[in-house]
Amino acid sequence: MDGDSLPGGRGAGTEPRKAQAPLGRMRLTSTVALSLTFLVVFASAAIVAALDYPRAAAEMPLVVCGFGALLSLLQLIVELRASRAGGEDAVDLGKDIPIYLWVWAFVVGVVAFGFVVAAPVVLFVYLFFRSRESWWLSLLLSLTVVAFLYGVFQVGMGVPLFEGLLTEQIDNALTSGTEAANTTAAGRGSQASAQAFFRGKTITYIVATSPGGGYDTYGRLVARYMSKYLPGTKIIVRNLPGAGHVIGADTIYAAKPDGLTIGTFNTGLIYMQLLRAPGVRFDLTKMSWIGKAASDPRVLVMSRKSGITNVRQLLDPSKPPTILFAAGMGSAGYLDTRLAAVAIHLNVRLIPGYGGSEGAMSMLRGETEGTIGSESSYAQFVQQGEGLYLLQFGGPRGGPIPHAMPFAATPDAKKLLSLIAAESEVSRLTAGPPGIPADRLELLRRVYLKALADPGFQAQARKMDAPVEPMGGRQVQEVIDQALQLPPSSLRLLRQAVGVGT
Amino acid sequence: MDPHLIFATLVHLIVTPKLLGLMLLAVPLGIFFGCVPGLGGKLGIVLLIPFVYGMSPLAGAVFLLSMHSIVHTGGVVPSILLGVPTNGPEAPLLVDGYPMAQNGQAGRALGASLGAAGIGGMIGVVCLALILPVIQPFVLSFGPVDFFWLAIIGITLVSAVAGEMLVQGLIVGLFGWLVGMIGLDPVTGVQRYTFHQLFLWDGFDVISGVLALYALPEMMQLGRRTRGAAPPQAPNVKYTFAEVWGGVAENLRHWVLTVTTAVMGTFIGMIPGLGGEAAGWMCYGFAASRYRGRKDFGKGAVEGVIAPSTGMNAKEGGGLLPTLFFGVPAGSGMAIMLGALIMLGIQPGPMIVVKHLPLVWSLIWAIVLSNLICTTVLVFISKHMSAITQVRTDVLVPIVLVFAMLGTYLANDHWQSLVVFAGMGAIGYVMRRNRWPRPCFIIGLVLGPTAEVSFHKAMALYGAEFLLQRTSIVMMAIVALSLALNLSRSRRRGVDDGHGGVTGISSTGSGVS
Repeated sequence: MDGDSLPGGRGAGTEPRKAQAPLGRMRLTSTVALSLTFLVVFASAAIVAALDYPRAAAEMPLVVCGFGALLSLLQLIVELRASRAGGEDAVDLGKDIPIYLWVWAFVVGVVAFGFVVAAPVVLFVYLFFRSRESWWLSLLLSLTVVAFLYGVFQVGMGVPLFEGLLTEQIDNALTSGTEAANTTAAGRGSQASAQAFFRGKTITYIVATSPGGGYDTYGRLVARYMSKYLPGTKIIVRNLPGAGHVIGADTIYAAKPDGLTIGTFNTGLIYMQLLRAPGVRFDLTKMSWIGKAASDPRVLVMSRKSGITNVRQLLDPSKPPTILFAAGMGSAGYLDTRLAAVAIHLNVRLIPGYGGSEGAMSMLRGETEGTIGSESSYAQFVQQGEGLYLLQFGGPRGGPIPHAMPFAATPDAKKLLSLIAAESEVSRLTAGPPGIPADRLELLRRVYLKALADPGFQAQARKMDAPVEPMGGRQVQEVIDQALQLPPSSLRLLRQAVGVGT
Repeated sequence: MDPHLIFATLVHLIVTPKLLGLMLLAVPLGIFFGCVPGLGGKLGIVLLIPFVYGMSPLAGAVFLLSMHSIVHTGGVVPSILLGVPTNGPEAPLLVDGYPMAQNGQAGRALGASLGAAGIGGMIGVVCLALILPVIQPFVLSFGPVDFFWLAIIGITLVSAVAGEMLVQGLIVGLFGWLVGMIGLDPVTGVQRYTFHQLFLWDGFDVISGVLALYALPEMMQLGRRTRGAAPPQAPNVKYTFAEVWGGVAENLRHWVLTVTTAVMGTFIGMIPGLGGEAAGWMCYGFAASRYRGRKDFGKGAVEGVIAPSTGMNAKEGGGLLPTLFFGVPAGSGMAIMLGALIMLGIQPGPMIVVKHLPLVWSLIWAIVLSNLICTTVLVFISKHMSAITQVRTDVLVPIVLVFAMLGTYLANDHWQSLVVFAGMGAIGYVMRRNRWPRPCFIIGLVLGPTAEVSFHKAMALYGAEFLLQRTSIVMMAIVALSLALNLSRSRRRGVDDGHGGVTGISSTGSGVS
């Protein structure tokens, strides 16, 4: 439009409904700001990708960001040249900033004090001061909303609402005094005093996945039947999904060790701890182990279409490698497959990235030929005659499926296999934070075993196709300790297995 | 197939008071889970599982499926009347549905969408029934190469959806794709763009994006005013029953579109791994390309309401197919449904057609009936639902904000999502004020990661030669054709009404892509 423009950034704050900006001056209109934001985002994301990520992970971000940055730059130039102070739809800071600040008031309030406290307060303030509603209507509406939230979600559906970061801290500060007294008093107490401690209290059982699925099923079942054997104690289940069980495990680890917070997570976190994955704050050797509910041996499954019926066919290096699929790299499922293949020198090629049920589909299609996974996930696949088990990792020997251990040649390989075995053995575990007073932990362990032996528990589990092979906390502790004591040479092998890629 | 069996199961469902009662109970529950932001059908099943303990397999499955199959119909009302989507699959409704409500055609939009959703849901299961004999080869014919190209075709929809704002659409779509890359890269195991924040490890949730880009800007728009000024006028959304009924009838007027998009939605829903979120957008994109050149598209075209509505419900029927017959769930909602079915004593797998054919037919009929009941009920009470929009905006804005925040939180239980919600909301608001096409963000977010993972898998399996496979060549031709058509259209449009300087960029930009 005009050639000799001044640099942008002048005259921030835009005028609405002003069709024409003064000629010869660039304005920081909201579209200019938007294009600029996108340009900065794309450019910085591209830099991060180029500097930090391995090639395969950086490729797509670079392509996307490259195009994005180019187009944003183009758009920015056009916007600047157009020098149009927006139409009727442009942003008007005088009107927009206040409402946006209100949005933040809601967000900050809820993050600090939780939905039940902050929502009605901010709602009331908004309705009374901004909307100028009468005080009684404001109050009525705020209380109705919070009653609805609390009644429907927390009470009716058992979905806990966020309680707020500050609320948690205040809670802790208030209770810590009385708790400390309790703990010392009960510290060396008997079973009776432990029982007395739990009476009238609420135990939170943390499940490290979202509702639905195996961990949740076992967790809820364990919680329900444990409370049966802890009369007067309520156990509520809280789902804390995220970061492949790390968030849940970190939370359990950091909880107050009074026995009122326990929970369940994936045993595959053993790998995360060994590999010192970022975000891992827990130390599995220090946790208070209450027990485990099942064993789930890892198996080598081959599809019917692959035509492979014998392990020897996979060991012959002269043949072209067999194609196995695996879950996303870095996941416990992937590490199982990778370690097992490395330990017994399978002549295979691993294709990662198959999540959920995609792997079974790809075997049905004949696109991949097999995988290493937990027996329970492929039971149905094998039952339907679509595939067969070739080898078993972990679990007792002498079963119908040949065991992998004899195929491991070196001590390091054997150690890796025993790592998988430990992971297979301890499945659907229950644990608490380190330092639960001995008497309470003892009580929880006993209650746990009683709950799992309950005929009602057994019947429910059978109905849900959930195998039950209980083990007490002490034994679980031993298995976990053993697994985590990996000699440096094996640890090197583990790191190699993870780092080498396909 | 035995016609006697087919109708006997239908009659059995209707004349058994317990089953009919369960369905009548399931419908309002489904509507509830659908119209509260962030709840959705998946959480609905999880929460209802305790109540079906001990029910017979037939009763339990009928109850859960009836509830699950109409959840999106429940989401129609807030999406169209308030511009607040409650779940990912309903987001495409906002593109044309909400503008229609703003233009005083709320009744027509509601009727069209509710009708389409009901018809879509029914056609979805009818397709399922028809395809019963040949399911195996069909479902098995999709691999990474096909996924890759389907995702790419979906992404080229950006060019159809963005209309005259093509460059802006591409920028927003690429931004969505970038956001979709947040989290663990399944191919290399690297955490991308998570900045050591655990809450980002599992990636950016679609419903958080939808709420931040649509619900928040809408509420800011309604709530903005200078201090002391009068509150903005609420748009007039009064409507009569006749208008709603007229909207339902639109489905018959556009029956070709209705049937085509329903069938499309079913087939997209059938493919495990493609993601049901995409179904609505693919159907919308189909409609947008079909009526290319229509200026009202994206600003309140009834066809743009019908297409995604049929798609989102039809995919539920489609998704049931691999779940029931292979034990391979089509999506995360169906994965939980699978668990519930096993718990009820129904063992999914190919044998189900042989051993439990009556059960399969009962489930098919249950979905048909619940769609019918749900749409009928909502159409008849829709007149009264305009009451929500009669609430003063000053009262509505803060309350909807609280619910949108609740939805964002419930989606993945991280408080940090609330901060992201407010931050993204600002970008969404500026995009809204400048009419940048926001749907492109969701398309990029949903389909980008599918494209990337499938690409890497295809490369690992077949090497770069996969680009020369027959499928690839056909798909490439489709992509090129649809891009060329959409570009020429947007260029023509840009010339037609090139009154603003910004619009002119579409012709500049077409050379770049």
